[in-house]
Amino acid sequence: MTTIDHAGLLAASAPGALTDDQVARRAIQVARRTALGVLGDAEAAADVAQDVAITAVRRAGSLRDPAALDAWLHRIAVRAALREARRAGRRREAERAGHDPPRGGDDALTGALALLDGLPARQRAALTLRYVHDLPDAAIAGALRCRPGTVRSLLSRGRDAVRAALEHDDRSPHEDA
Amino acid sequence: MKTLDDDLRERLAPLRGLEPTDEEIARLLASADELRARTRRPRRSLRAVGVVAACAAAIGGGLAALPGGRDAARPRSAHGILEAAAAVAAEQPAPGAYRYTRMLSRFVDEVHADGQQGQVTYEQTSENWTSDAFRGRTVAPQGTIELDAPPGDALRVAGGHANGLVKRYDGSYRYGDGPIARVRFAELPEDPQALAALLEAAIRDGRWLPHPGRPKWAPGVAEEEVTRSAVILLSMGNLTAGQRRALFELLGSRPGARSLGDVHDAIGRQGVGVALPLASALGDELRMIIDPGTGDVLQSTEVLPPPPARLPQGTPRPPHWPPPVWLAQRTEVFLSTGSVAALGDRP
Repeated sequence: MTTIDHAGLLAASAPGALTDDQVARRAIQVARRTALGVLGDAEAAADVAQDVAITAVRRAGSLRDPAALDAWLHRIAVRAALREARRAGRRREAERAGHDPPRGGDDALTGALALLDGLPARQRAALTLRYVHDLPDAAIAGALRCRPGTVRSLLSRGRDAVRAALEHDDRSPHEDA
Repeated sequence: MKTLDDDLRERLAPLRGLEPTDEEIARLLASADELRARTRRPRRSLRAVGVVAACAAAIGGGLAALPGGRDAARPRSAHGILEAAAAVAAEQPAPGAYRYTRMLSRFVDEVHADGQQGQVTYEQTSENWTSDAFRGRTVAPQGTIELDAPPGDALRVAGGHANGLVKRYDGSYRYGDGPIARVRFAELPEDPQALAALLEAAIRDGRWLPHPGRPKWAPGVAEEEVTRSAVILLSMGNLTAGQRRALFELLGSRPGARSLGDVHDAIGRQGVGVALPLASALGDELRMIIDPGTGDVLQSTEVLPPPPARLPQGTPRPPHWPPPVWLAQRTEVFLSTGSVAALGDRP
């Protein structure tokens, strides 16, 4: 498996030199990770990534600075994932007996997704952008369209919730005993 | 000592491992090249189609490559499912003179009136024979109506109205079929973009109206009708394998589709499900269950959430809003389908 050095790729590219497949690959990579963190569902994340990639390729020509591609992709990926999370929430409310969304992946992925399970969508987005994409506060704020202070608050609450869940998991075997 | 930040990075690392392999990328680019070679369209259109195919391949491949043994042969994303259905549909035999369909139509009305809440479910089984441009015949015995218990006056009134919709019927193909009623099937292109353009033109130009006229459509509605029409054509249209392939490809290019994974239809048959957004502002969607072995549509369901309490700004408010009764779900289960030589024949 080849991991593409996107920073290098972008730095080496002259303005406007990104090809459709470079944009599509990067869009899929960014959007799938983000959507998976926000939605916790591999198939829903794949569909969101598909839509984001199509949007990205159609509109990449209007992006004046190709070096800004990643920031732009993060923004449209987060927006698409949050929109899908809202839709999924409405569907759950509206349906009395619906389909359970398919969940996928191996044990490690399931464990990672379980860690985010139950958190509000924006907290999940913030945690994913920080700990999966390694973005700083300012970049997360750009993607979530909020102030860096709000990002710090989202991350802080998210970390507290995760810590509480981990502590609960650690205690559970003793309680059972 | 490991900090919580380090711990989180480590625990969420599996989300980073979703890279397409080199082989998948090569396949992806080959698909795009193949599409480019097969079509002669303006640059803009080519990019869109190429990317749809490429992304479907990449995402399908990416999911198949998830550690833990996903079924690599079975696409899991909505677009992958539709692309696979297109490939299967392309292998099906040529149609006969009529398409035969035996189907169960089930409607669910929500009733919120006079302090009562409940559902009215009414259904009817019909046999349909359709030839070109949906000319044909429908035969349907009297259907049934079921009210939530205990049925109050409001539910009984709603059930009374439903009675007219499930009456015994024997006559011309009953459903029309709406905005694509007068589309000659022989004119349907086997290219998905040209097909989408033709359907949208047919919907917009009003050829289906009883009197000549050009209907006005709210933004986005004609596009949603294209999606709905494509599903109707796949279910009821007497079409060639190439046209069916193009319809699945058309649906695969619509934004907002989502996978429902492996699902069962109302009579227990297993298939793969895809949900297609309709009126996105209201959350309406059309869910299809497809037989992955034949590309046949086993079931289609239109799900309509409750009417919004607040209408969009500028929308005239009807006298009774929200309405006391609204259609919440419409399902068509295709019990039996096939090609036949003459009206009245069954496969």
